[in-house]
Amino acid sequence: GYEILSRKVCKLHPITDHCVLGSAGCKTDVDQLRSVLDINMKIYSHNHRKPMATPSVAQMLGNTLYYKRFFPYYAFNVLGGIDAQGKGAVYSYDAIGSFERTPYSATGSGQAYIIPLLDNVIGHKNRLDPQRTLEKEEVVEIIKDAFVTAGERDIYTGDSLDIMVITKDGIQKSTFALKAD
Amino acid sequence: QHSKTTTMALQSHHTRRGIPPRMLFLFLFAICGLVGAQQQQDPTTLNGGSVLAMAGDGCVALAVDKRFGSGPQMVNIAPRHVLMPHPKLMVAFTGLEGDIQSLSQTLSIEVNSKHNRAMGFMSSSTSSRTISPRAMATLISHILYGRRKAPYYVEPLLVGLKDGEPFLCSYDLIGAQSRSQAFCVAGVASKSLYGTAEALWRPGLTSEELVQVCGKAFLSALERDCLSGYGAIVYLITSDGVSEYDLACRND
Repeated sequence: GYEILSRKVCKLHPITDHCVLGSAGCKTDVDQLRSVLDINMKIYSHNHRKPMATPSVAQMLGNTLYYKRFFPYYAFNVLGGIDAQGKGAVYSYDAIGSFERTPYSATGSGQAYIIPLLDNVIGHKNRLDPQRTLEKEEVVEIIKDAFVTAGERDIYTGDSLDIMVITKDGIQKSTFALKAD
Repeated sequence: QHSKTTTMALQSHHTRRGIPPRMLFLFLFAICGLVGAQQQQDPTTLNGGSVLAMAGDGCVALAVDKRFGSGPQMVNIAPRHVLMPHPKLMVAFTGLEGDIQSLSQTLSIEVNSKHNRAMGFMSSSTSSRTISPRAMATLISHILYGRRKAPYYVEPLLVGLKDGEPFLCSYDLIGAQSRSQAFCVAGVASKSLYGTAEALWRPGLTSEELVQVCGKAFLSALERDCLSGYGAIVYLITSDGVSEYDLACRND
């Protein structure tokens, strides 16, 4: 209910060097889902002698979730990575594996606070000024702002923020402190 | 002859087959239960609608949407009902439309009768003595709490300007006040509105900036909510008066 069980649980899980899975929902189902994905990743890399590309991971995650269509994983996922063309890819999922590639996504208890903000700032909706491409550092600052906003109004969001920036060179992880209330 | 009669009598006395009356009663009751057991509609979200109020430097902005629906079905596009007792005070309502109409009528009558008692019954409603935002806030609270046991399913939002100072107040359905010097939200898209308003508001906004920020925050939140939308109107209250801005957005 309202109790805090930990202030430091990381909700991001690197699947390959170019792909990170973020999950919200029931932690035990999330852990099990990650376990299943990791095993399938290993089998793939043994069979094909290369790591899985991000769109393939996306499809596999969708299939894994649908496999449990009638007793679902209570896990709400967002997959982020670099696709085969070197461009950024974000995929949003529901609990039973319906997924779509989107420019940005958010899930969890603070989702309603964050998504409209991303619509305005990243999707450039409802704005009259000319759109420009955003630099990596700018986007990280926008994400920090979004989580500070969600942390203000959502009781379940806060304590600490983990940011993983995925580029063709790999994953850079950083931590940002949020209000501990 | 006697044996024939006896045989016929025996034949006519057959066992009654069919559903026993008790079973029939239970069966019909179950069917009625299944057919009648629809999900109760939530009065606070049935008609949809959202409002946002923001404070700037000596000015306040109030954004209201235009959707009136019955669940997922849109019924009418008309700006939300906003009361304006005088040009420095506005009250917007979200929630169940029927209760909104009742409450706004009751509120108008109360404000007018207070004005008449204070100023005499012949003075016009635009005379120099006008109801202050704090008095109006308390009045709304009392009217809502007066119906504590059978509440108005309405969440009003009060915006006012008192001596150049903004006054914002939102309520829950039984009259608890929530004041802020920054912004107040109400309606079905309130979560999304909290997100955009929290991120985009900053202190010391001028009136032009305030309209931009309020409009942007409102439209971004509305587009993600299916029960609000079909356009927005932003009212800007400054010491010079009230201006109205009609914003276009996705009509779905």
